[in-house]
Amino acid sequence: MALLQARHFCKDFGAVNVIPDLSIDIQEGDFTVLVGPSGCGKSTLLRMIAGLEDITRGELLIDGRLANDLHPRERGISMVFQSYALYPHMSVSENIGFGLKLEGCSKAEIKQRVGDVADALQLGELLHRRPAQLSGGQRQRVAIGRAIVRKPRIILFDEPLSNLDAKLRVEMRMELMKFHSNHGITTIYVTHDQVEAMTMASRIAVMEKGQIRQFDTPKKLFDAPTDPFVAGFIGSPQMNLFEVSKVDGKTLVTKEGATISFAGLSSDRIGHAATIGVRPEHVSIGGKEGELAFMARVDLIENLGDESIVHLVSGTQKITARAFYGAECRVDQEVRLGFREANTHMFDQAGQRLA
Amino acid sequence: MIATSHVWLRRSAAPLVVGALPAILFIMLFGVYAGWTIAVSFTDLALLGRKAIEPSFVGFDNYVRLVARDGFLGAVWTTTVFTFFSAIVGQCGIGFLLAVILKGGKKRLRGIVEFSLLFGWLAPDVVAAFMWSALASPDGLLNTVILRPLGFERVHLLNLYAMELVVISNIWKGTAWSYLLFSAALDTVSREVVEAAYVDGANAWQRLRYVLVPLLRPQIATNLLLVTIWTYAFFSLIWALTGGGPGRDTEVLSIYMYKQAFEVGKLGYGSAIAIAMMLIVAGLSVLYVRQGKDALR
Ligand SMILES: Nc1ncnc2c1ncn2[C@@H]1O[C@H](COP(=O)(O)OP(=O)(O)OP(=O)(O)O)[C@@H](O)[C@H]1O
Ligand SMILES: [Mg+2]
Repeated sequence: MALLQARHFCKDFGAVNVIPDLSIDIQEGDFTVLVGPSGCGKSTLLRMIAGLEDITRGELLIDGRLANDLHPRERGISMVFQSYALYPHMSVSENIGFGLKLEGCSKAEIKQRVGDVADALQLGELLHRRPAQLSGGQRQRVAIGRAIVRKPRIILFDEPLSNLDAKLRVEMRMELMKFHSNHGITTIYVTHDQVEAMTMASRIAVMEKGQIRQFDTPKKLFDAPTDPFVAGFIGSPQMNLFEVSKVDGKTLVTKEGATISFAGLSSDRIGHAATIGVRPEHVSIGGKEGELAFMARVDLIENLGDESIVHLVSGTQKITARAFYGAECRVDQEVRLGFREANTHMFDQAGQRLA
Repeated sequence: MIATSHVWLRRSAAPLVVGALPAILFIMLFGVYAGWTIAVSFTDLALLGRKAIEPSFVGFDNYVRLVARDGFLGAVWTTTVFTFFSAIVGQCGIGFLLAVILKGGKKRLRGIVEFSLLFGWLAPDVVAAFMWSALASPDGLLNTVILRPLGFERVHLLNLYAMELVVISNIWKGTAWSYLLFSAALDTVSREVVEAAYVDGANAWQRLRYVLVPLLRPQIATNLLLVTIWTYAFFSLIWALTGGGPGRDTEVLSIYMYKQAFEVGKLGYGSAIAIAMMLIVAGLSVLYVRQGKDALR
């Protein structure tokens, strides 16, 4: 049985409905990442799980037990906030030990447990400092220490790395991954950052407008997105999505006015697709026989050293191609583009993936 | 001529001096007045009679009299009680609690409370005094509407509970200030920090005791300082409500000083009282400022 189950969650802020109907099961020991565009309700969902926000309708089960009205502590949940939210007037050890002190633990026990946590997080030297005297990464570790000292079953993170600079973010990301694999605490982690999501998660939930679009492993999410939103959201640069407006024999016209021919293909699958997606790395300049093909004009070339990102337009349709060598084209040149059917992601009118 | 590293200040020194003239005059006025008060406090200057024209120097006589006679020490005690209960416990304490409680409260309730508080704050002291004495008089609202119908005897509240009444009316009058100040201060406390304390398992009282109060310590110290200074020298509301009576029950320092200087007519002694009051307030200020500084360290 799943450790944590959200069943038909619904959240209203006054008259505004933010989460209409959301269900998700979180398995023990998993590292679950919630991603989605800004304002889609990630923080709200996390705060409902934490007990910081009422659940308007629906049930939260932890270990099969109804937890809607339990205090975060009784839920066995702790949380790391985006701003870390350390108590500025307390030392590092007081910050970590605050929850234990409230629980009524003895001084000796608090000292012992704070010491253990501090050792695990390499905070031993800093125990007497105030948060203001710590670096961003150290504050982050104190926040984690405070969250784990009471041995929670589930630990929640709301964009914990977004305040750090790029280099530190990569370091902390690896530390968090190591931490998770060493301790195995069930983790739910909200982020904006795709790389974080793809590298850290055992499973990713992609959210849009208060709904979960797809909940799957990073690999499945990337290889077989189940709807156009997920297809466009996961992967960088973004997947090219062509919305088909009409099919005429062996050519199709997109809503943005690109004309794609699939003359060499036998399959009639393409004829049923409402949206066709193809990742930039699968779009080749030049193209080959037996591929979907169309003409486009080169708009801009971004040279990143080992690869080039080529931005093209056909009609008003924007296309991105990615080449792992110098791009063999110039700006304003008309080129032929091609991609293989096997590399396409096709979705029907209802947004369902076509097998 | 102006010694400063700010070039723009130095280059425009002449107009600045002209502009500062009124301020300089006022500072001189303050200086002269303070000097005069100190000087007078060492004489037996009187309001009327021979001593009004030919006062003589009496050394520390006035100051000795402060300690040797009951009047002053009694008034210090009365003022301290009044300040402690009306300003520190009442205005500061209630203002702080209201600010904390109403922070997350309903807008409507908050509006009503804020309006009532500000009403007290904006009412002129004399008007407030009149309202309270009307409320508490033998024929007043409390007696006719509440006590009498319940079968109680008519009570002369202003006679029996003068100090309580004065304290309550000053709380009513001044809580708005502390409430507004603490409300603004609470907005500076990060919401996530309070939520973190909640997740850590702190109940409302513990969040107040371990998180909010320590975080707001500088503001609390500053407000205590201000409110104490104001209340220690507070005059008009008490004067208009009880005149210091009954007997000397509500005779705070300012009223004692006024009576000594202008009713008894001993200007020299009155000045000594003023100087003593100032020293007491200065002493308290040092205490509070120390407290606030500790919090910052
Ligand atoms: N207290 C609140 N009152 C009213 N609306 C709210 C409140 N909190 C959040 N919302 C709304 O709920 C929606 C979801 O907010 P939420 O903070 O969960 O988004 P998010 O996915 O975490 O976004 P971000 O990535 O920017 O943090 C937003 O439209 C927001 O405006
Ligand atoms: Mg958020």
